[in-house]
Amino acid sequence: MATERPSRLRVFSLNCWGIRFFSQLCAERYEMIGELLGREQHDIVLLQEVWSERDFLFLKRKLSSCHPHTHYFKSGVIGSGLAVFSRHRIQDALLYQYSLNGYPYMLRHGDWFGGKAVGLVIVDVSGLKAHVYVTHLHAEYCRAQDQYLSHRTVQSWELLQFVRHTSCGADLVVLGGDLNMHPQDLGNRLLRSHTGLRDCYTETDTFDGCEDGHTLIADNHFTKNHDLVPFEKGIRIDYILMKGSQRMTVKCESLSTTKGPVADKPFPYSDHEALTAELTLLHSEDSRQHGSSGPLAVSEQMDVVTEARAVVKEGLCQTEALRDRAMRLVLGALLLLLLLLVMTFLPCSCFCSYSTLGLLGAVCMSLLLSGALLYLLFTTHIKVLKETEDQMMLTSNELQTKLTGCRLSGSSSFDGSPEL
Amino acid sequence: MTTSAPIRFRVLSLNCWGVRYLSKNCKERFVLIGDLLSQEQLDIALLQEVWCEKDFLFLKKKLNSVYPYSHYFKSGFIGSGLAVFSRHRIHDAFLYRYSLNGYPYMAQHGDWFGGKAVGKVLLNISGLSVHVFVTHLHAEYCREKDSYLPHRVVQAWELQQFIRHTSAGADVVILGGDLNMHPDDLGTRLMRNYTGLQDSFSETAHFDGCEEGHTHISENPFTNTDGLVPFGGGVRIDYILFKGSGEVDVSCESLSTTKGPVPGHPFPYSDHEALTAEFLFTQTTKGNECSKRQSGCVSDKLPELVNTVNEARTEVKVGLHCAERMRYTAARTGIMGLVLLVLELAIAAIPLFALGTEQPFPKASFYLLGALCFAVLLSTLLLYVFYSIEVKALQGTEDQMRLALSSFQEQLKESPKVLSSDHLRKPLDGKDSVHL
Repeated sequence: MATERPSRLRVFSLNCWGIRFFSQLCAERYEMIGELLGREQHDIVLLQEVWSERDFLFLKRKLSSCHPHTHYFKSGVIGSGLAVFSRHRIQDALLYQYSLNGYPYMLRHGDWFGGKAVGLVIVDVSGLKAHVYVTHLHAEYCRAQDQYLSHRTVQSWELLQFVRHTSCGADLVVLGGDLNMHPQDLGNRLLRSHTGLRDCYTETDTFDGCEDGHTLIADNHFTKNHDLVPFEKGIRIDYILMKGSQRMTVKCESLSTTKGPVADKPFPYSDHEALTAELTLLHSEDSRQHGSSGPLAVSEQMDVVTEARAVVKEGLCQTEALRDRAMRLVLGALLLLLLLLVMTFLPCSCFCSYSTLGLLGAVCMSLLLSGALLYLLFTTHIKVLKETEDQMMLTSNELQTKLTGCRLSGSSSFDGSPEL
Repeated sequence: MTTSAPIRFRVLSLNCWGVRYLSKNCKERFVLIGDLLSQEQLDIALLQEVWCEKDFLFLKKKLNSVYPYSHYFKSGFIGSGLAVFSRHRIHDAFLYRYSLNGYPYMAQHGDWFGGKAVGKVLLNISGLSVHVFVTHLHAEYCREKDSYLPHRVVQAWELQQFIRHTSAGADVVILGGDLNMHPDDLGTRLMRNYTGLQDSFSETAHFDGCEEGHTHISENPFTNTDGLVPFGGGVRIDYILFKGSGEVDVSCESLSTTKGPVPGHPFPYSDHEALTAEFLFTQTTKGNECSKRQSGCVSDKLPELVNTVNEARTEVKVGLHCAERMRYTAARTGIMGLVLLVLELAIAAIPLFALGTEQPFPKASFYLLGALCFAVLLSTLLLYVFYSIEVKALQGTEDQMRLALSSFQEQLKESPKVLSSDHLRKPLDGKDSVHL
């Protein structure tokens, strides 16, 4: 049944920056994106920040002949922004919404309102089962003092767990999206080392695109330069990752990115650059595991999990401090309210009029409510961080056992875990 | 041909009713539960409603010698309540929190504050990969007018999706928990049909327990008997489900439940009965039949599955319609509140510009009305955010169901033998089919 002729799969990924009324030239850019996709006829298209369902439906209509199979992942308040267009039939879809995604009071950042998630579609590519993941992680607003680092680390952990647990029966695994992390950032290393996914940019022999594979560049006039500081030219935060299986070897033949301005058009497709990867698939007789059980790989996995655990612990401390502050707010507001009530009923309430007392009472109530909601929010966050820490500890112990087994016998002494 | 000796595997599932300060004799019952687990010689215990971490830690300390491995799934505000105690090493754990779980303003029901979820632990039993799931679905407070039905259907859908997608490589799959659904309810049928999991009560060789396998009975002094009267004194809402794979055959040798009061003790373990199942894992070299089952649905069960998913889709659509209406009401009320506030501010501004007015400014009513408007605005905003999340979750589930249905149609097209007259004449289980 093994055939020597390789199959090809062209995958496209783009953060569309589709924030209606906020991002510039939204409708016009969707027209351009639709034209590009209609022309290029990729096998699989993975889009992020398609926040408005109307834009998704516009693209769906426009691409109905070349990409008849689509899925739009809905979650959170605004939506996950994740959309998949495929030439091949989508057999199934599953969404995993990240447990942590910013704070609702950070309206300026707004991530909390998008239900950031990882979407999985199972695509039938000429009889092969491809598990395709599309995702978008929390944005990084200030690298020097990243208040969302623990959230992004938890998201990376949940992403890798989700990929590991759901890709067992896959012939081919592809992950595309905006990870909002540089290639050597903790979350990226965590993801790659624990799933065995390979970065198309580093694996490909043929690359045509921005310098160093950057996907957010200064040459794109939608990009604000302060987003790139201290990286002057650009940063690489969008990826297409891939992995084969025991039955299938996958290689990245070529990878290309857009380079900012589009020929014959007055503006680029988005503030991000688009990635296009051409993968070749070959039936494999090789039943070796994909390099994730040797002592070196296990050691690397251990180091990165330890590093991640430290970040999560730090996040836990910070969140517990925030929760204590919320509790103090609630108690303070209650005390003040009590005081006001006492003052209202005192016979000589000549300090201030009833209306002022009423106003202060209203302020207290608002503070009380805000404090209670914040307490609820931070308690939920603490639970998530603790759960992630527990899961990381389990994995750490697992890896420790493997490492000990490797050292004793010179080979992995454990089997049965969801190794991929 | 068996390749090695069969393995016995004992599983217990219990909803512990560990609601501190609200459930009766909470601390004493956890001591009893600890004793029960120590005596029962189980391989794994799946507990629900262990809301308080202190109770989990108490059990962990007490059971450390018998069950050295444990995991407590944390999510939501109060917690998921899910805990696992295992004799065998837990190699990995993963949690999937349900998108919908009641309403925050239904404080008397309180489900929303618990982060209900399905937890998964990975065990290795003599080289076999055993995936164990524990879960707890939204409670049913009023069967005739179940306002949480769409939420429970969504949870059942997400539960089966999670199990199917994460147990592809499993030799054995076990699910234990409080599904809060009767055996023929939509969600239970959806779960069983789509995953291929079998009910230990229906499959067991030996059963010893409450009549009809009930797990919530009127003989239990903690139970509110009124709710159970229409059901003959008991309901079966806790389950242990199981499935083998192409290489491992799983059979349920025995199933038992507690029967309310515990001999020698003044009260039962909980308001639910505990389920204990003993399985036998037999390694086989059986091929095609089981691997087809592994893919999630045997082709002759497809028509029934199509009907079930259609039925589920209807419920989700009903829920969606309701949620959209609530969201619209919240938005409309919020806008009215805003208009009222603006109007009030405008009216208040008039005395400032009016000439020769002598009437005193009605401060009290101004502030009172202003406060009311503000309160209305704030609460409708919060409700709008909440209902938007609910609408998205319901739409997402409906999309997944639609995708599944089109997949089934493709499969049905490809296997014409399913459309033979024998199958068409076969009576369908459960409710009437609804085609959309």
